[in-house]
Amino acid sequence: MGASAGIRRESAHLRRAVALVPLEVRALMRAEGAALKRTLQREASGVEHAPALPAAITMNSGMKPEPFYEVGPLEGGAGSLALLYYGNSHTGSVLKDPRFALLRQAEQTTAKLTQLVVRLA
Amino acid sequence: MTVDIQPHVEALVTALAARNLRVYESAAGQKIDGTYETPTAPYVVLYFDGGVRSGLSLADDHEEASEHDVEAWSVGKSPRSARSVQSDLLALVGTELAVPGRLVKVRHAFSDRVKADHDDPRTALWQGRDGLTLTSLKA
Repeated sequence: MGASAGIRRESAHLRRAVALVPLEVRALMRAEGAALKRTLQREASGVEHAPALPAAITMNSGMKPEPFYEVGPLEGGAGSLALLYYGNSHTGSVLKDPRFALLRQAEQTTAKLTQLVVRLA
Repeated sequence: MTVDIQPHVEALVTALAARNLRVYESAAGQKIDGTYETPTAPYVVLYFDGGVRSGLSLADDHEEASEHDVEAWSVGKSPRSARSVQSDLLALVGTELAVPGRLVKVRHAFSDRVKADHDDPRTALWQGRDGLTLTSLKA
């Protein structure tokens, strides 16, 4: 079986999980999003001139159009300090790139969704 | 976290230096031996974090498994030069680093395209940012 066939089969399993146990999937996405939020808040803490930035990092999760969670600073106010994630060729960025945390969390989310599917099988 | 990060830092710096790259750590011009020099492009600057405990199931002893995230800024005086640095950096993805007592592999996390560094127009530098994760297991 090729890789694309495997991905299609996995996608079909995940759609089945969403259809059969939507409440569990919704709760899972909420919990995973909250975990990512905690990680980003921890990584954003301790910056002397941006003490309010961690509190400006929010999380939203849902099921439409597909299961999702999104985490990050809200625009405006302390959230504008998201520029601390940027940087330059001399000093780099003040804050660690949030994609490390996202990738790590996404791997865990995928594993937990797969566990749900296996349980249904 | 009990895994010492310093040997991982030194191994990555050594691997990059073997490709004739000028390597700095934590700031442009900051050499790994603690000395400073005026940075001259092309160069790469590495930013390490303290590491996180890994959930790698391959390791029986999870206390001894860790992941170390590294941000690497590839810098050149032209887009081509910066891309060349980036290319040498990314050539390490999938390879193993020589860290005594450890099995360390370089994984790719993300890459940004090369773009102008507008923060200091006098220097007219170009930069690309990449994320690498060093997965480290007890040998």
